[in-house]
Amino acid sequence: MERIEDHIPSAIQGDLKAQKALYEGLSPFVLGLCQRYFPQEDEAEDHMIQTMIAFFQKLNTYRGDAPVKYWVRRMAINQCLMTLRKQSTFQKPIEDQHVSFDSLNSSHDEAYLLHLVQALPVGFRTVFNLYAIEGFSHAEIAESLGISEGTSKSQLSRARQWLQKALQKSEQELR
Amino acid sequence: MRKEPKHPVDAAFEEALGHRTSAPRSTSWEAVFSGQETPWSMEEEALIQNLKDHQASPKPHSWDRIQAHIQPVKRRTLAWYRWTAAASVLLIATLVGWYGVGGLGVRPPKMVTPIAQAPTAAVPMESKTPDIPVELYPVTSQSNTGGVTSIKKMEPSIQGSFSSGAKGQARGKLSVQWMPLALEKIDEDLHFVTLPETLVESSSFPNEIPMNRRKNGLRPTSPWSKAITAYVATQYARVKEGQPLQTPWSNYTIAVEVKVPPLAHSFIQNTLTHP
Repeated sequence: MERIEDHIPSAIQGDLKAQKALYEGLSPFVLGLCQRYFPQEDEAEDHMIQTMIAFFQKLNTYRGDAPVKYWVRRMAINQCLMTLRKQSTFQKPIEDQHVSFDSLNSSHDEAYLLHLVQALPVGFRTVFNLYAIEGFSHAEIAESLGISEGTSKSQLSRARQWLQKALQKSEQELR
Repeated sequence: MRKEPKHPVDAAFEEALGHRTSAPRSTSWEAVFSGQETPWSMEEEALIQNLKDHQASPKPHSWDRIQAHIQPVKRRTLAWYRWTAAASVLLIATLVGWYGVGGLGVRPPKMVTPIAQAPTAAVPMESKTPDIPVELYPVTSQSNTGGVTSIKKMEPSIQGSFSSGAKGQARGKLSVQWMPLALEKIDEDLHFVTLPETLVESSSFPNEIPMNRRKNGLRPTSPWSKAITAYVATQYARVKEGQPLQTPWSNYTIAVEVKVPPLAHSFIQNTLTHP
């Protein structure tokens, strides 16, 4: 079976077909990741495009010691965090961030769960994504976002509380 | 006033939460202090797993935008190579053209005795085609110095005028001694001759030169080459028919005007001037 990494040598040589094959193999995954950080569809799409451009420009530095999916995943996370850092969203006090899930439609499908995370305030959402899904430690999150480890822990804790409430609500509504 | 030391719990809490001085809402002191996270519930596990596997289809035009960013790099690289190749070809063509016109057809002086030492018939320049008795011209003679006594000797020369391509540089006249020339064949019925060698060293006139030795000759398209070669051909035909020679070739004045860069002046002088 053909692996996605098999297209990399040709793509480095400028083969358009290989480049497109890489794009088609990786872009859904990258876009899914970006959507977790940016609820706006266009914003997520822009970050996916920027990530893929960076991916193709740096493709000749890929050493092949890890699956290319992990490599591009790290690029996508960096791309998202770069924007979030510029927006200085993490300087706001946690208490100021309004949390509401009244508008959510109860369901347990994938779109609903994504929407649930997207509805989190940006600080909660980012820390939750990095910790729960990407597997970062609090120290790594603190370094990546320029916040203290304590802030990272408290934001994760608040995010989990909010998500648990939302999930309980949807469970009740489904019954 | 003496400051009270912080309670160990407070100190640990501040260390854990940085700027916060109170526990976050709905967060127990114990959980924060111990640093232990509450285990993920089943719902949370399901949520995380779903989000990990989440993928989305990009819009159709997204690839075009990416392609537009990554393709120009390739085009610029190719353009760079093309320009370099074009510049190289142009440089080579210029050099080849320059050497072709600029006198590489002139052999190095060491190869043959200069014609200036040969007895040459001198006829005033005003006389266009004076007849010279064939026996006076050393085309078949064994001696280079004898045979011409009644005709005034005249230093053979070429007058070349050259001008610089540089703006404001004066045009100059360059008088040089005539040197042996290797002439190329320009027509099918015209033989290739080395006139000075024939006159000075050989008893037979002229010698045909094999094609493979015609490396340093003037270019067939050069007016200089054509004029001299035509003259040699004419005289050769006259000799064959037993007619007297006309004005010796050495008395012809050949004016060549070539625009050259100033740096090349010394090269031309060295090439054309008799050593």
